[in-house]
Order: sequence, then C-alpha cells, then structure tokens
Amino acid sequence: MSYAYLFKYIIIGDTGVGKSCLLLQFTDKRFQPVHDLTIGVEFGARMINIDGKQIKLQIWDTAGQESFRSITRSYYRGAAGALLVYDITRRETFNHLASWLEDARQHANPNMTIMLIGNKSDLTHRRAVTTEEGEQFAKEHGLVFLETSAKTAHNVEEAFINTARKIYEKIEQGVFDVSNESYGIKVGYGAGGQAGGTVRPGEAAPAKSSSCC
Amino acid sequence: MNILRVAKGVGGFIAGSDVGRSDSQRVEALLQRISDGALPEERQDAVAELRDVLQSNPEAQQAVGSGFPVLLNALKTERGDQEMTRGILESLALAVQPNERSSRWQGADPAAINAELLAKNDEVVPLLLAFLKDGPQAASNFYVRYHTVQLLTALAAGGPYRLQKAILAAPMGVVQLMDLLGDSHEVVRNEAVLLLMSLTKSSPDIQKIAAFEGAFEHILKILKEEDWVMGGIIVQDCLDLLSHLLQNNIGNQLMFREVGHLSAFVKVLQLPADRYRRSLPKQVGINLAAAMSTTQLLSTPAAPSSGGQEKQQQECALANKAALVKLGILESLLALAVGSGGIPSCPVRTQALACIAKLIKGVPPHQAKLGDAKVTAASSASTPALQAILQVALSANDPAEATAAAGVIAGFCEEYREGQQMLAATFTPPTELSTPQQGGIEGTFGSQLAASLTGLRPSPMARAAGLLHHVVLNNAASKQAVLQASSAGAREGSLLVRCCRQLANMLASGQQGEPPVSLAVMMLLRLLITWAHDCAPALEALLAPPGHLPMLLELAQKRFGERTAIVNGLAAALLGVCAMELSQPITCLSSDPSASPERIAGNTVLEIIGSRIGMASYFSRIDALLQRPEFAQAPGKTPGTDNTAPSKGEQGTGTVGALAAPSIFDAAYVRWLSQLKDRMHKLAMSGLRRPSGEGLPAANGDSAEQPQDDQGTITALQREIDALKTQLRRAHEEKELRSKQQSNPAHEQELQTARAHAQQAAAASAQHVKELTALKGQLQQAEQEAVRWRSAANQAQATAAKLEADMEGLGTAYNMLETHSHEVEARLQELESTGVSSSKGKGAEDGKTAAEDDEEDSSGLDDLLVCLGQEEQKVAILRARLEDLGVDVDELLEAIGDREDDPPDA
Ligand SMILES: Nc1nc2c(ncn2[C@@H]2O[C@H](COP(=O)(O)OP(=O)(O)O)[C@@H](O)[C@H]2O)c(=O)[nH]1
Ligand SMILES: [Mg+2]
Repeated sequence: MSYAYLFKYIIIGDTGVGKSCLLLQFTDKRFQPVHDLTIGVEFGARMINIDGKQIKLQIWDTAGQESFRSITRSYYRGAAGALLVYDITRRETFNHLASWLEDARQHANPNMTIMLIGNKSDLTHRRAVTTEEGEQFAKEHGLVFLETSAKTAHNVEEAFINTARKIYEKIEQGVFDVSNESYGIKVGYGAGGQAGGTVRPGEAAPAKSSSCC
Repeated sequence: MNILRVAKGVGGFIAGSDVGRSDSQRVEALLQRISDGALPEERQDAVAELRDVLQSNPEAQQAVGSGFPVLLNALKTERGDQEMTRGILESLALAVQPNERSSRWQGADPAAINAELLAKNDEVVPLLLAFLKDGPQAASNFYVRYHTVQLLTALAAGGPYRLQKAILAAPMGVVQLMDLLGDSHEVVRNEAVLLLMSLTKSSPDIQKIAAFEGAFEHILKILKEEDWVMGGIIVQDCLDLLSHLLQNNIGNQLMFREVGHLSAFVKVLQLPADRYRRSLPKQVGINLAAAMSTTQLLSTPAAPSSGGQEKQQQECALANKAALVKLGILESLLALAVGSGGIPSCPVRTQALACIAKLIKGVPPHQAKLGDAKVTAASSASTPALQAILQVALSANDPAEATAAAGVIAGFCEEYREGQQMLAATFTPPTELSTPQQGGIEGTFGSQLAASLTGLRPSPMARAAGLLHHVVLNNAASKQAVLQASSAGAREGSLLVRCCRQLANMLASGQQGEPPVSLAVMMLLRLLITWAHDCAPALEALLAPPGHLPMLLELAQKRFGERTAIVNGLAAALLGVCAMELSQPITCLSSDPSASPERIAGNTVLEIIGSRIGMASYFSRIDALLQRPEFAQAPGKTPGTDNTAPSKGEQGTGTVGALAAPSIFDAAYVRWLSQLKDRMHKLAMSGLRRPSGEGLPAANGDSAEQPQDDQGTITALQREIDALKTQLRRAHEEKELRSKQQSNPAHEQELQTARAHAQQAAAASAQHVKELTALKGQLQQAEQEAVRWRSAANQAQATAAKLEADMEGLGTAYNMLETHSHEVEARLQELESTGVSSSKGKGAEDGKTAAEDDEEDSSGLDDLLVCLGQEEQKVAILRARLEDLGVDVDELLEAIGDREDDPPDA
C-alpha cells in the first residue's frame, strides 16, 4: 500500500446536508438512505491515481460536530483539502456557507483547497438553490464548485479527485513545504524508499515515489 | 534577599521576617508581595520564595489555594517576564501536584482541592494554552512549556472530563497539545504523552482530533527512536496512549489500519532472537504487556453498550485481526509464548497465549495458520506450535499460564472441525514412523495428551481431560477417531475405557476428597459427557464393561470434598446422557419390545437409577449442580445457536488462579444441562407409569408406546382408562348374561355362591367406577394444569413441578387401579369357572395367594438387583487392580462364569 502522497481532507457543512453519505459513497460505493447518526463513518481512506501517481486520501467526516464549531476548527490546520457541502433543497444550508468559510479562512492554512459541493442534485423537484447561485458563490470566494448526489453517485468521484488534482498541482508549483506535515500532506513511502521524504518548495516530488504503482 | 533565602534554607526560623510565622502566614505574605510589590525584583523574589515554600509542604499548598486569583492575574500582566511566568507556573504546578508529605497530612488532600479550584476557573485553560502557542521550536521558553504541561496533567488527574471540555472549547486546544509530542525536549514530550493519555481517555472527540493531527505517527516515531519494546518507560506510556486512542473508536482503528500503521506496530512485539534468553528486564516485560494489551484491544469488539454499532465493531475487530495475522503477529507471539521454551517471564508468556487465542478463535484461516505453525523447541528443533502449547497446557507450573495455553487449544478447536479432526488424528499411534521426531518434543499431540490423561498424577490428568473435551466437542468424527485410534493399538483398551479406569482408581484410592483428585474426576466426567453425547460407539464403550454403571452410580453418591455437588451432579448428568441416548426416539405404538432393544437398556439405566439412587435424589443432584456458582454464573450469556450440545466454547483466557474451577462451564452448557434434566423428567415419568409389580420393563409389552410429552402421557392414560372401562362394561354384561342363563336348580348352591361373588364383584366395580371418576377428575385437573403450564411461560418451572407431582399421583392411582382390575378379573374368572363346572370354590383365595407370591417375588428381584450392583462394583474395583497387575480380567471372569454356569447334573 505504498503511495506517493497522502492528503488529508475534511468534510464540513451543516447537519443533514449529506457529508457522511458522500464519504460512504466515495469509500464504499454505497448509499445509506436512512439518516442514522450511529452509521457515521467518521473516517475513510481510499487510494486514487493522478497522473500515474498513487495518492492516498484520508478523509475525516466531522459527523455530529457541526454544532460544536470549536471541535471542527481543530481539523482545519491539518487538512490539505476541504469539501464544503450544502444541500440544494435547503436554502439555509447555502446561507450558512459564508460563516463556514470564515471559520476555515481563520483557522486553516491559507493554501487549503476548498471544494464547494451542492449535494442532493437528484432531488431536482425540491431544488431551493440554483446551480448558478452555487457557481456564483464559488467564483466570488475562489472555490471549485460541483453539484453532486451521494444517492446516485453523480459527481462524487469527481468531487474528491478534482480536489486532489488541485492539491497536486499546488505541490508541483511548489506552493507547499511538504515536509511540514501540518499542511495535511505527506510524502509517501515510495517503493523501497524511506519514510517521510521531504520536498522543498519549488521541487517536484522525488522520482522514487512516482514508480510505486 | 538572597542571603535571607539561604538562611531560611539552613534554619528556616533563624533570621528575617519569617521568625515565628507559620507556613500559611508566610504564603499569605508572599502573595501580598506578588500582588502589591512595587518593584519587579520584589515581585520576582516573592514568586521564587513562594515556589520554595510550596515544595513538599501541604500546609503551604492549602494556604495558596485562596491566592490563585493573584497568581493568575500576575500571569496575565507579567507575560513578558519569562522569569516571573516560569516561577508562577511552577508554583501553580507545585500547588496541584500531590507530594509525599501530603499522604501524612490530616484532612482533605490540598493538592486535589487546588486542582479542583483551578479546573473550575474558565480562564485557566485558555491562558495556559496561550503559552504553548509559540510552538515547540522555541527553545527559550522550555520551562514555560514544561510547567504548563505539568500543570495541565495535574488538572487532568483530578477529573479529566472538565479539562477535556475546556480543551475542546479552545479553538486549537488539542492541536497545540499534539505539537508537544514533537517537542525537541524529551521531558516536555514525555510529559505531553502523559497529558494526552488522560485527555484521550474515553473522549472520542479528542481521540479523533489527536489521530487527525498525527498522533499515531508521533507515537510510532517515538517507539522507533526508543528502540521499540526494548526502550524505557516512555515506550510503555506511548503504548498506553495508543490504546487510549484506539479504545472504542472504530474510526481511529480504521485509520490506524488503513494508513498502514499496523505494519509498524507489529514490530513492537518482535524481539531479537535469543536476546532475552535467560532474563527479561522488568521494563521490557511491562512494555510487552502494554503492546499485547493494544493487540487484544484491536482484536476485541468494543463493549456492546457503546452505541448500537455492534456489527461494525465485529467487522472492525475481524479486519484488525486479519491484518495483524497477515503481518506475522502470530509468529512473534508464538516466539514469546513457546519459542525456545518461551520468554523468561510467566506473565508475558501467559498474555502472549491469551493474545494468540483471541486472534485465532473462530477465524478458520487463522486457526489453519496456527495449525501449520512451527516453533523452535528448547533443543532448537522445529516442533508444531500446537504441540508446544499443549506441553504448556499440561505441565506449566503456573495455573494461569496453563489455562491460557488451554485457551489457545480451545480457540483452535472452536467451530473448526478440520482442526479438531487434525488433532484427533494424532491419537493414532504412528506405525512406521515409530522413531520420535529428531530433537523436537517427543511423540505427537495425541500421544502426549493421552500419556497425561492416563498417567498417575491427577493435575495433568485433569488438564488433559479438559483439552480432549475441546478436541471432541460437537464433532462426531473426532469422537470416533479418538475412540478408534486409541483402542486400535493399545492393549489396555480404548482411551475412553482407560478414562473410566482412572475414575475407578481414584474412587478406590480413597483420596477423592483431595482437591487435585476431585478436579480430575470432575474433568474426566465432563469429558465423558461430551464424548458419549451423540456418539453411539462411545456410549457403547462406556457401558459395555459391567463395572462402569455401578461406578457411575457411586460417583453420583460419594463425597468429593468441596466438589461433592459438582461431581455428583456431573455423574448424574452422565447417567442421564446414557439413559437418554439409549432410549430410542419414540416408535409410535410399536407393541413389540424386542424391536427396540436399546430402549430397554435406556430404561434399565433409568430403573437402576431409581432403585439405587432414587429419582428424587437423582434430580436433586442435578439441581444442586445447576445451583453451583460455576453454573449459575456461567460466562457467555449470549444465546448460542446450538442448544442441544454441551459447551460450545469457554473463556480460556482467564488469568485467575485455576484451582477453584475456572469457568469451564459456559451458558450453553448450563442450558444443555437444564434441558437434559427436563428430558430425564419426562423419561422418568413414562417409566413410572409402568405397574410396579411387573419387574423389568422388558416384560411389559403393553406400554411400548412412549408419549413424548405430558400431553401425550395424559392422552395415553386416557386411552388406557377407556380401554379399562370397556373391559369392565364387558365384564358386567357377561356377568349378567350368566346369571340369567344359570337357572339350573341343580346348581342352586353354586349359584348362590356365584351370586355372592357377583355381588362382591359388583361392589368392587362400583368402587372401581368411583375411583375412575376420581381419576378422571384428577386427570382433568392435570390436563388443565398442563394447559396453564404451557401458557404461563414464566411460571413454567413451578407449575411443571406441581404437574409432575400430580402425574406421579395419577401413576400411583393407576397402578392401584390396575391391581384392582386384576383382582376383579381374577374373580370373574373364578365366577365363570364356578358357574360352569361348579367344582372349584376357593379360587379367590388361591388368586390372592398367587398375588402375594408375586409381590414377594418382585421384592426379591429388587434385592437381587441391588446385590448384583454391589457385586458389579466390587468386580470393577478388583478388575482395575488386577489390570494394573497385568492380569487379563476378561479371561479370568469368563473362566469363573463358565464354572458357575455349568449345570450341576452335566
Ligand atoms: N436524495 C438524496 N438524499 C441524500 C443525499 N445525500 C444524503 N441524503 C440524505 O440526507 C440525509 C442526511 O445525510 P447525512 O449524510 O447523514 O448528512 P450529514 O449530517 O451531513 O452527515 C440522509 O437521510 C441521507 O439519506 C443525496 O445525494 N440525495
Ligand atoms: Mg454525518
């Protein structure tokens, strides 16, 4: 299970928008229709492939902590990516985005990649937020935007993978000091290589990690 | 000022303003100076002095509590002053840390009161966390960080919950504490491990954030730096912290596993070969224990109370076990437990065995892996791991270690038929490969076990019996394999017969009250019950030798010291198994008793129990067994799937001392035993139904029908009563017909006699009818009760007992009725003969005498049976003795038998 990079993600947003379902759909490829707090996955991991590189995603669902913001805040600093989720059928979850974003900006590292997700796109007949509004909000705040359905799996892969691609691009551009793990990025144990190799800003990932697949 | 402090250090009351003051007055004065001192130096000095006073001084600790607001305020206002900050933090830490003198302090512990006081103050935690903000790389404020962590640890010790809440409420609380794990100063890092240990304890939120912030990476890095398990106490702390992070937290366990940390973790249990051959440093032993605790935690689903995720817990534990075994943890644990004779520490070996049992139990691939595993034996040759574990289970000096080893073998056998059969096959004596494996442990698993089972010492015998129980449990193929294998070559007979001989020997020894002997008896009985259950050849082997049954009867009645109730009860249960399994399933209305010879044997057993022990006494023995604490508190309350077989498994990992019978009887066993008791009740009821004067039931053809339950019994009884009524009616009719026909005056006198007889018969019939009515009433009552009994499930026990009593009464009544009916019939016959031939007048008296003779005969038969039993018992003991002397007893007995059977005139 060697990987070139490991990225830590968090999923944030109001209760009931479908965070746990998105995680479950991404890691286990299944949908849990009944809202059951005890089903909370809380943590999921999956290997993906970008440009021939194995990338391990570690995803934390902030289940049950939406109302206790200080706990959620503890996760910002160590995350490389965040999925900020709202429910397209519940307007108030869209209205709360600004406050979530403010929290993230305050506590996260400035280079954290945030993906805006309008979930439950399958419920078109109950839509309360238009796609254009979502796009507009993302544009204003410099976010990437996708509408997803954890139920039909529409765009779920893309949401997680596009975020990883964005982070990977930033590494390639040397935005991160990858040796500092507090950015939520770890250089992997390449095949035969030792743990925790470092990449200085501006450098590409070590060649050894690219041959691991 | 400095001079003053030195002076105080020497004398304490020689000089300066301190003379004559108590410590509390001094503390008050110092606090005053800290708050009001005009010059920074003055305040600094006061802080330094306060710190000195607080060293190991409960009185000063008590006094400083009221001054916390002053100190906290100073912390805020003097943030720039490193020296001040450090002094205040250290003073606060001293105020909340218990010291050796406070144990002699009368009254409440001032340190605990202070910790409580500080923890209640909402601004303390944010204030302290602020000191950690500058990050771990800032070497200058090392003392500040150090005392801050100390202080937090002391606050957590008082009651972690409040601190957990406060830390979670602070925006980056846990994150800042996590950074301390990477602190360049080891003392800070080590202190942080302790702090996180109390913070993560049962707080899923903090556990999760800590894991997110890389706690696992930090821990594994420290472990590696400290040379894994060979390191010092920090390794122990790290492993404990690891356990706290994983406890009851599926998410964290998933992460630990998914991210590949397990492969680093398993290194903890790998010791360089031969490194600790002769002695194990104490700390290494403790570290190993901590690592194995973590292993056990990962292999055990969390307590079911923690939130309805049972299925996920099970899956998670299973996935952990699979990953650990794949990474070779079994090999490491085997090396610790039995490799080269095992690590020189009994608790470590014991725990390693417990871990192995946990990892393999109920997981066939793991069981198979253990079955194939080899270890290096003491003589550096390779031996099957299970055989090395058997060695420990049989002969370890420490009972806990032996129990743990037995737990591995039990775990290996549990729901793994192939494994059981593999072990059963090793009982066959090797034919061509008669030379023992070079250098390894000699013999096979089976031969070793058999040697202990048939040896002279009771303790290994008991252990061996306990182990063989698992090999044959619920597995007919294994039962037969061991039975045949052991009887094929051995001159002494099958292993089962030899077990019985051991029992006979122990009975004959007169030492059956000694705890080791009674334990062996108990374990052998448990084994025989398991073996004979559902295995006809084993049952046959058990009952074929004539001495066995009397021996079982004796086991059910003799005293066995503190284990009397258990041994008597188990012997009763074994007799029950014999009776039950020998009585065939009902062949409805089959009137030919010879068609089911085995059933007769079953009833014979029952009959003998009845005559030698008495049914009431017999059942009281089983009841007493069920009331024993070993049974009443049997572990494993989860209902098993298979209720018809004895124990499906046992808690073999208990580390409690073993002489007071380890929990070898689980809930399934108890359930099975209760069912056996109920079935015996029913069997006994159908047995009692038989007329008592008829001798052995073999002679009784008309009651071959054996109702399965009480309802059936009642129906059958009803039917018989109906038949009887018809008979009676017919008798009446015949009688009347005859009295009409017989009008010949020549027979007047005879007729008169006949009339008298007829009158008598009529009176008897009336009486009979009355009794019948009463009987019917009783029957109805019984039926009603039966119905009620069925519907009232909670009262089942009590009502059933009552019902049974009624049934017994009914049975007795029936017996009387039948005797009576015999008499009536006899008289009718007599009447008939007098009516026809008018020559015999005293038939009734003759009949009566015959009946009396009959009765005498049957009681004589009873006496004879008892005598026979006693003789059999004597023969059994003699046989055992003779066999020990090498005499062929069967031949001898045959010779004696031949002589006796010779007809005198031949
Ligand atoms: N129709 C539909 N329902 C969804 C979707 N995602 C989640 N849900 C439902 O929304 C509810 C809340 O989902 P959950 O994942 O628990 O939300 P969380 O509180 O953000 O973790 C559940 O009843 C889900 O079945 C989706 O894409 N489509
Ligand atoms: Mg959720």
